[in-house]
Amino acid sequence: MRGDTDWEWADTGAPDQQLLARARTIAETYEPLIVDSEFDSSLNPQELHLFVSDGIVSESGRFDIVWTEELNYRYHYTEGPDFNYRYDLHPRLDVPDTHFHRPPAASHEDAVASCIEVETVRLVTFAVLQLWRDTLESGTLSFLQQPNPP
Amino acid sequence: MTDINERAKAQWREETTSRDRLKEVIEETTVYSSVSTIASKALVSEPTTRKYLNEFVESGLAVSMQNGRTTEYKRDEGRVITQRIEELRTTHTHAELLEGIREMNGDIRDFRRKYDVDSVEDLATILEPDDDGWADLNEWRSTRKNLALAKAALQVDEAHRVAEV
Repeated sequence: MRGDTDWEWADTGAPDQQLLARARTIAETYEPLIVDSEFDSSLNPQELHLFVSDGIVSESGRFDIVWTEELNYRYHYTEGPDFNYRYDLHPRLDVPDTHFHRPPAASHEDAVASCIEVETVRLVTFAVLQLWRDTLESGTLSFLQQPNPP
Repeated sequence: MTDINERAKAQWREETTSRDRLKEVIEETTVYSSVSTIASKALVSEPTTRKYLNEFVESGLAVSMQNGRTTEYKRDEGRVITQRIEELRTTHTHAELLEGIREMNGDIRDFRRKYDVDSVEDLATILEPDDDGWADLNEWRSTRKNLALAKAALQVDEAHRVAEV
């Protein structure tokens, strides 16, 4: 989790256990390819991990999710060091607070405005998983941002 | 296929009633919010939102605060805390709670050492925007809360054990 990212430099608010637990329940309801889920710690959860049994460029992937008391969020998707992207909501000056770190690096400089405008835990989780599935099924990376929905 | 936001909203509307959606939104409203903000998030009209929010305050799900001429609402943290303590107590053993408390005390000690401050409030005053320490600050905040919850779970568990002898 530690790294060179804008999430580390902003006051995003403290991770909220109740919101993380809700994201887990919702994700498991919507996406059958989620084969496992866990918190980084059961007593002091800072992050939720969702493991998926298919991948966009490889065989499997993982979502690392944070929701905070300030209702900021971070949905980081990884298939290892070579393929990462992330939907964020947190204060940032040069791009909208709701932004998307493009694959494959998902670096600080890769951030652009996000297509996700909904705000609740359910709807954001649904949107992130649906965009992942659309991309998986179409094999088209631009579906992660749905610039021109078919 | 329509826009992802519209798809998400349409599915939610299809699966739920106005009351379901308002309940879900208020349960994740961590900061005082206006009726219009809550109504917009829950995809419900403002009059209906107002009616259910008052019901939720009555039943202890939400709390309200007067802000000038408007009333604002948020989730009842007391209820969240009580539920979490019960969950911790029933899903963790005494030894697991003790071990967790020991680890969280250690984490907080490490934050104090790393930044040479006594409290999370002191760290907040020395951090500048874009500093590296914000993630640590927020982890410290949530660790402090989770430590208090684990300690409370231990105490409540003890009370149950004594009372149930």
